[in-house]
Amino acid sequence: MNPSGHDHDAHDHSHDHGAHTHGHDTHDTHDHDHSHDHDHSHDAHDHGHAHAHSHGHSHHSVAEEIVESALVLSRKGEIHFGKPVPAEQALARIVAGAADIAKLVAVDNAVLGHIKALAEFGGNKASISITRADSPEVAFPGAWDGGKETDSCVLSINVLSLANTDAPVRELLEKLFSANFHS
Amino acid sequence: MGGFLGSGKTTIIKQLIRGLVNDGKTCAVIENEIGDVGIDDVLIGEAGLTVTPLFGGCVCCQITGDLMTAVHRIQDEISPDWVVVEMTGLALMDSIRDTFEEYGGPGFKIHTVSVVDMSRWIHLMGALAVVFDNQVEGADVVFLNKTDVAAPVPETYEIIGQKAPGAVISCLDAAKKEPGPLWAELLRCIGEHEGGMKK
Repeated sequence: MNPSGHDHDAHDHSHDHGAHTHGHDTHDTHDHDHSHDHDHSHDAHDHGHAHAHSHGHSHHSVAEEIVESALVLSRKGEIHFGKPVPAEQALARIVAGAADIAKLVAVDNAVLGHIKALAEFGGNKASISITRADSPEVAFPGAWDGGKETDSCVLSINVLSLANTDAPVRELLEKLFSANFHS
Repeated sequence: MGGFLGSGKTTIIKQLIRGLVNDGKTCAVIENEIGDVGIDDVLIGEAGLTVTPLFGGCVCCQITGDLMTAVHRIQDEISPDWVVVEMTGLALMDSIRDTFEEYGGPGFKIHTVSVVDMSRWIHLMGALAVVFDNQVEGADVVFLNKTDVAAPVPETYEIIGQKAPGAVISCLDAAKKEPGPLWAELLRCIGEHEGGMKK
């Protein structure tokens, strides 16, 4: 069923400074992220990209224009710590990294969007939610053993912001995914 | 259920579902994630529920077809008492209502809930005002969330009442966010809204 006026197979790649529109289908033709998509040093599941959210309406309200210029950056990949470390120590480092991203996009300490992440250390899972840059919230969806040592984790992170959409978030994400406990 | 990014929709839905299930009802959840990486569907799935994720776009317009396909499939295969749709934090409420009313079919009863993050109320009234307006307009119920950080004042109710006339506004304190009370509160608000509509 295809509601009239919404061709969700179309790709909208109009490109504006600080704002990118993107259809919901494939990402490899999005020229802003071409270099990243072909960076094979990353985990096979890594597909970070920055794009704005296109509503596709023929008449754009102010709200829709604000929404369409949003920074939307998603990434999922493995972080290798270089040595086994307790999960709680690794989590603290990840939370700090996510908070640094929040500070980049925040206005008066408030994230005009949301930074959310899920860190999986084997069977250990922790969710991170940041709407205020100085107070990240961490929750544990299931049982949590912070003392269990691990040398890697899988991190899924979505960075969504309506403010400071030109902030160098990608660089901080790179740093986060390169976390190494030897340094 | 809509509301700005990070307003607490997922947390509320998890509690609501627990309350709903404890009340003997069945439920399916559709999670709309604007990013391409699923997080909320995992968090809700941890509660033992089957979740249908919709990624990479907003159900209010980009992937509307996917939303209705998912809803109809759920109806046909599971026929739950309730289907809960968590919209993205950028979705605009009226578009969703229009979609369901146009494509939902007979027997569909839609209840729209908007979650308002009181901890960022100043920003919602400032830089995000136009977005906030579109996320509250068309809501049947408005949940005021994170009231432990910033309590609503009389002006809060006035402003929301102007933007969403007829909406039932409920302040969620810690007690009301327990599964049973939250589910009861939602049913009360829906009943009050429907009662108001009939007048």
